[in-house]
Amino acid sequence: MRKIQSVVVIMSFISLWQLLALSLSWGASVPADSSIYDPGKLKAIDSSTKLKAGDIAPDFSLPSLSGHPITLSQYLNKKNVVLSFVPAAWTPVCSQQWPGYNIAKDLFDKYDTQLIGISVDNIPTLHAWTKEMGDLWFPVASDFWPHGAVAKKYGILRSNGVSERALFVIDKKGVIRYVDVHDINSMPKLENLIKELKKL
Amino acid sequence: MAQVKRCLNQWVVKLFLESYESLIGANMNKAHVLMVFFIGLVLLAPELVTSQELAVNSNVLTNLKFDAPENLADKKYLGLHDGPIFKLTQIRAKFIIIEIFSMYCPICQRDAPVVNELHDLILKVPSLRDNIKVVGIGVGNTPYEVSVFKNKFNVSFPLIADDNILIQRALTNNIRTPTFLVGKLMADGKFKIVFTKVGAIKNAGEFLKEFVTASNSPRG
Repeated sequence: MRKIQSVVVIMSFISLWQLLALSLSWGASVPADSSIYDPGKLKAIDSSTKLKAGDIAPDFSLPSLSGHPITLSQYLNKKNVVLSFVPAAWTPVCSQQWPGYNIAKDLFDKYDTQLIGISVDNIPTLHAWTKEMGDLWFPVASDFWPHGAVAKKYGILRSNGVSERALFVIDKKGVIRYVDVHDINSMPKLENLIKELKKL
Repeated sequence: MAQVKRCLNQWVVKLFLESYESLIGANMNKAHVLMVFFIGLVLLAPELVTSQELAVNSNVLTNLKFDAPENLADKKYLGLHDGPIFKLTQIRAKFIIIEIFSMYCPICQRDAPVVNELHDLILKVPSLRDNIKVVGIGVGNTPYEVSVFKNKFNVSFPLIADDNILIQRALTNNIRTPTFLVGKLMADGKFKIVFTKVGAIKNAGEFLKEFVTASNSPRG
C-alpha cells in the first residue's frame, strides 16, 4: 500500500515537472529580432494637425544621415516630395515601413518623387537602426534637436515626444496634396500612397 | 524569482528523495537517486526543445482560406481550379513549402535570392518538381505589396497576400518573418507539418536536404 502511495507521489512529481517545463518554455520568446522593442498597443493618434491638402508645406532644414542637411525647399520646382515620419527607431512597425519603400524606388522614380524619411531620433541611433534595413536609397533626416521641432510644425508631435506615423505628399510647387496621419500601430498601405503620387 | 525557483527545486528534490526512499524501502543511496533524477531530466528535455520551436496547428492551417492568386501561371502551378479563394490543401502536391514573409521585412528581402534558388533546385529535379510546390504568404501585405516584392526579386513561385494575417491563427508563437513551414498532404486531406524553420535560409541545398531527411524520418 505504501509502495503504491509512493508511486503516486513519483508520478505526480513527474507530471509537475512536465507542467513546469512546459510553462517555462511557453514563456520563453524566440530570440532573433530581440533588438526590436515592442511598445504594445498605443493610442492610435495623439495629436491634431491643422495641415491639409492645399496648404503650403512648412519649410525645414534638418541634419541627415549622409551628413548633408535636408531642406524641403531644395526640391521646389524640381521634384515631388513624400515626407515619411515614423515614430521612433527600433519600434516594430516602422522598422519595416522604410525597408518596404526601399524596394519600391522604381515607383517613386516613376512619379518623379523624392522620399524623405524623418524621425525624432538622433543621427547615431538612426545610423544603427537603418543599417539593419540594408542600404536605403532615400535620405533620412533627424528631427532630434530642437526636439521634434519639424514634427511640431507639421502638427504631428505626440504628447510623449515621438511623432505620429504620418505621410505628407508635396508637389513641385511646395503644396501639400495628401496627408495621412496613420494609426501609429499599423502600416499605411503602399498602394494608397502610390495612388496619390499618380494624381500629381 | 530566483529564490522562489530555488525553494521550489529544493522542495521537489526533497519530495522525490522521500518518495524514492519509501519506494525502495531501505537504505537510500543518494547517488542512485540523483541518477534517476537526471535520467528523468534528460527524458523530458526533448519536450522543452520542441515546444520552444514553432508550434503549428495543422487543423487550423488546413481550414484557412486565402485569396487565390490572380496570375494564371501561378494558378496552374498550384493546380487550383477557378474560384476567388482556396485552401492550402487544395494545392496539387505531396509537399508544400510555405514561406511566411513580408514585403516590408528586410531579412525576407535579403533571403529572396536564396528562396528563389531553392525553388530553382526543386524545378530542376523531376522527382522533386512533381511532388513539391512552393508558395509564399505575405503576412499583413496587400496583393499590390506582394506584387512589388515579386517583381523586385523575380520570384517565380506564387505569392499570396494575407492582409488580415490569417496565418497567425495556425501558429501559437508570434509570427516572425521569414518562417518556413513544410506540410505533407495526407490521404485524409489534412496537412501534417513535417518541417519548420524560423529565420532566413542560408543555403538552399542544405534546406532541401534537411527537409527531405525530416520528411523521411518515422516522425515525418
